[in-house]
Amino acid sequence: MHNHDECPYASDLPAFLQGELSQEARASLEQHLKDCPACRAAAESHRRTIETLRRPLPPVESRDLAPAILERVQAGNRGRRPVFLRAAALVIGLVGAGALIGLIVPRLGTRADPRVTAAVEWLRSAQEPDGHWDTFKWGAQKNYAPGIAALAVLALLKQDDNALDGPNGDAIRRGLDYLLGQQNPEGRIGALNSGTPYNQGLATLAFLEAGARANDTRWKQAATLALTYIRATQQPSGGWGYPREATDSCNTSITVWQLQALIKADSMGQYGMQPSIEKGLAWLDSTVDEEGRVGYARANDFPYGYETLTAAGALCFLNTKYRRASSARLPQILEALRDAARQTSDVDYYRLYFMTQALAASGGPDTELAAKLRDSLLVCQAGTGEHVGSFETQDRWSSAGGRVYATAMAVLAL
Amino acid sequence: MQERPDHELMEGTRDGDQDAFAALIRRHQTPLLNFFRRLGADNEAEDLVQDVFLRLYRYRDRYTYSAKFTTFLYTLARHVWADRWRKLQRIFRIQERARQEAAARSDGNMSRVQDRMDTLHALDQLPDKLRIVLVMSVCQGLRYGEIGEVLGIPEGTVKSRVFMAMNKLKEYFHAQP
Repeated sequence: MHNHDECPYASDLPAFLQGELSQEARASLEQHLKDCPACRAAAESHRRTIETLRRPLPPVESRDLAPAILERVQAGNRGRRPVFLRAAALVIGLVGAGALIGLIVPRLGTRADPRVTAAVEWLRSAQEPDGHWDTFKWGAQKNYAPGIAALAVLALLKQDDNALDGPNGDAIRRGLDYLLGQQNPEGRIGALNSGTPYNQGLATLAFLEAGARANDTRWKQAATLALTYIRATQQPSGGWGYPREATDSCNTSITVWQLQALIKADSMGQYGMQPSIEKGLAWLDSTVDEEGRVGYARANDFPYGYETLTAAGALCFLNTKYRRASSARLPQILEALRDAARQTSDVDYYRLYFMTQALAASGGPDTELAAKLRDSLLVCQAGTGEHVGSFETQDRWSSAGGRVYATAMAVLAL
Repeated sequence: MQERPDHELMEGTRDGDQDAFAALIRRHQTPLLNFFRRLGADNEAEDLVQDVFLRLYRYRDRYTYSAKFTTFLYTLARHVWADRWRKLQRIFRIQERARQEAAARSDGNMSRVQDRMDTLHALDQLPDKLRIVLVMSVCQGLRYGEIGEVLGIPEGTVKSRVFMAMNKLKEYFHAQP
């Protein structure tokens, strides 16, 4: 059987169709095509392939890149300063980074507050020698173990600027050691399961917070690797979702933790976070309805109410330094947040955490409202008994996170 | 009013005219974005486009009017792609694994996986050196000679790589159910 690819003209066909042959070669091939049905068929096949390749790609959200690039060019120009100025900038940057730590883990909870101290002491006492918190013992689901450890570490870190040198230092280091052991070479924290996105976001935040306070390269490297994983698992639409669900099945609850980690890293000067942050915020913005309520998978989608999602979304929009990536509906979102905060009467640690943080970040006259929310939390703290200092597992999410989650989340909200 | 040609905008950029630089970005950002998407960059495409223009600004003094602007631009794009390729290897591996996990573990989502058997997926199957030539030639409209300059290879090599790429795609399309 004749092998068409052996025809000396066959390799000229794509060039012929693209107008890349010389006049002479073109004329010769045209003559050949009249006599060679195999080449005619091959040419037709190539033509169809070219046509397919030239079809427009599915449109993506297009925005003007010029402002972002010009901003980066100017930032680069500003960066070319004499060594002594750069050293001064570094000092100022470090001081600034210290201030930014407060954005994600604000130091609102007073360190001297005996109720906070009691909760922290309980967290320390509940830790296992190898640094993890036992999910079975404290009523949590095993797949959230790394995320729960990360929450506890964040709560311990929050207590002091020099937390690593204080009474919580040893517990924090052991917690971080446990998390380091959970990271695989791709950067993922823990086994791949439905808890992964939460584990990933929270552990990344813990590494970043610790790395900002002490010069331990292991934590910084772990954070960088974990951020790579977060960026790699961002869906084409910009959000994040459960690993086993269909492509582009995103939800706000998962997305906000990944965004918080990216925003934190960006504020600490990690390069390359901006595109992912902007895409993530754009997806988040797509879930906002006209009343400023943030949805779960899309606008007007509230499987568990809008209050927590709106607070979580507000926190991300408020904390990004890329103001143009923030939501045009931010005023409505904040209004919805305040309405929800005024109406909140039950204790939901997850919701109260996001509400208190978002109200604090909004910089508005919300201190009283936030204080009221914090007070509502305290009724759930065990004042006596074997779990004194911890928080009761009574909210919707305690069945997943158990007592460690409840206590750490409460400390972070206080 | 007639639009200023690329080389004039490049001269303006060299002289510190930010409007000229912004006009260049706006003119070429979408073709470049599609270029990187077709190479498989997907989520990273916008980041890569930004990097190309940052390099364009950094190397603005090296551009001479004698060179075609798109040749200069795509040479930078090619370098950005090569540099990022190494760093993105890890990310691509993770994404591929995530896709496999999603396909293997979910019953109702196979149609989505099938849906992705599109042109981008077909291009994904090609080795990088064939894909970049094919995308530059067929999708971006660069001439063979220009591609040879950008990639530093003879024009004849460009021609044979386009041919090989087309044949591989033919196999791929015919292999589809």
